[in-house]
Amino acid sequence: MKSSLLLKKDPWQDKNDDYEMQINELFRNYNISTELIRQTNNQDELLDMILKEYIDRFNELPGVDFVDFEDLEEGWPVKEKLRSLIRFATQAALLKEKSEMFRRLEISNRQLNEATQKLNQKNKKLVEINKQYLNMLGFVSHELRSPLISVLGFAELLSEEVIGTLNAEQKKATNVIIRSSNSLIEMIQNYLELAKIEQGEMMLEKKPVDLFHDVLLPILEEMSELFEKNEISVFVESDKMLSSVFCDPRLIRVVLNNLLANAVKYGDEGGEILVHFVTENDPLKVSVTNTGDGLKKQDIKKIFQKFSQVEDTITHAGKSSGLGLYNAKYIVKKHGGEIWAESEVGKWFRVNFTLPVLNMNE
Amino acid sequence: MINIENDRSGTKRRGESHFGKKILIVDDEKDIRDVIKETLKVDNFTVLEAETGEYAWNLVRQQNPDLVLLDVILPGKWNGFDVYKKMKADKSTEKTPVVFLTAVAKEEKPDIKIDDRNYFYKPFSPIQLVDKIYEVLDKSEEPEVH
Repeated sequence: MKSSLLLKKDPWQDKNDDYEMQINELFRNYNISTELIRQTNNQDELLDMILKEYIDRFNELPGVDFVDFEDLEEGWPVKEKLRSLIRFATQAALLKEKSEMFRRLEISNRQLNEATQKLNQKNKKLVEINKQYLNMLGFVSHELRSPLISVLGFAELLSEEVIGTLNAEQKKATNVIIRSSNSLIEMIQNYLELAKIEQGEMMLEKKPVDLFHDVLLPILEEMSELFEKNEISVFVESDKMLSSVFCDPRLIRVVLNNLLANAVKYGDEGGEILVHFVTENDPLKVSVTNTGDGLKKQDIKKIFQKFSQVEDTITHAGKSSGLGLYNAKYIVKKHGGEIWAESEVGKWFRVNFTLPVLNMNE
Repeated sequence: MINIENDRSGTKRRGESHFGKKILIVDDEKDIRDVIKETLKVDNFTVLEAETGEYAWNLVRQQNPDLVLLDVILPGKWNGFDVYKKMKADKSTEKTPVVFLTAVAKEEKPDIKIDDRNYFYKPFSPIQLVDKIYEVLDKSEEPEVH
């Protein structure tokens, strides 16, 4: 039978008009509509429905003997033929529906692919732009810093009267140059660190470090003038003699430098700063506390975010990269430590961080 | 509890122990060389300058400086580490102390072992740098202990 051969055609590629026409023809001739097929799942029931209709029509013809539908036997050839045709038509109808669905699926799939491809291209472009931006950030920061080094150097030579004596006014002016250059360098430094963090280029060069002598003391020496100007007393407290810690000294210096710079910036004039080491546990804990207004709980949450500027405190300084604590957090986390802040409003503000001591093998 | 005293006395003039010693400054930025030069001149050092690694190596051989201040990133073929390696490989210069000046903007990785104490980071205080130079010169005169 021809119809069964037709079924072997790949139903998913029903672009063949003939094939489609044949199915449609079949449907029309035997009065099988997709609707009818859908009404029942039972082929026998369907067969009966169609036969009944035929016989009814047949009986209406003049001069035709009455045929009783109930009398038709199972083996009746017309019935058999019809049965196989219906089986084929049912399958064909279902396949046709499926192939239509498949075609639609294919279209939307193609559209999805195109959209994804476009998105990927855009994404690639964005990554490239971000890379360029970070490169530029690093480059600009580096280039900005170079001339500042000589500005700061000469200002120091002037201020220390290495190259001649200054009167009081000149000395004051020179100290302003030093202070401003220092805060500029600090900001630039934070941008440089940020560029490295974002580019995934921040590598730790860990070695045994004496936190007090190698890291803290040089910072305190550098900042001594700033402390003096703000009449801030600095205290360092430790539960016992610090043994060496395995860390990247340059980066931990960035952390402590940022914490101390903040303590001066947001602390009160004439106040105190306390650097406290708790070394009896591993990880050891370092905290930097300053007296001053402190911060409300909801503001504390924000301070470790990138470019964060807590509104209340902006009046205090107005000169901050908003990166100090973000970078500090990244560096501490990279060392496997934690960093958090606490405060009593109107009294004090404190940042704590921990550093694992016993990770020599990393 | 330690209260950090702000003590900057003794930073201006020091003893005559290293009077007239030759210091070679290798840095491509003239302004930075100038700052260091001014500071060193006050302490009566003789100052030599080089802008590139190749020129620095020439000066090291001809002038035999007592100490070399070496920037790591330099224009031209050689960087600071290359100059250092040349010096270490030469009998007449292998003992000359070197202090690296580095900006650590990009992580520069030497392929030779360098003592951390020989590093000085930019931005630097010229007065602290001179302290460092004294410290290194003092040490280089001590008899070596093996």
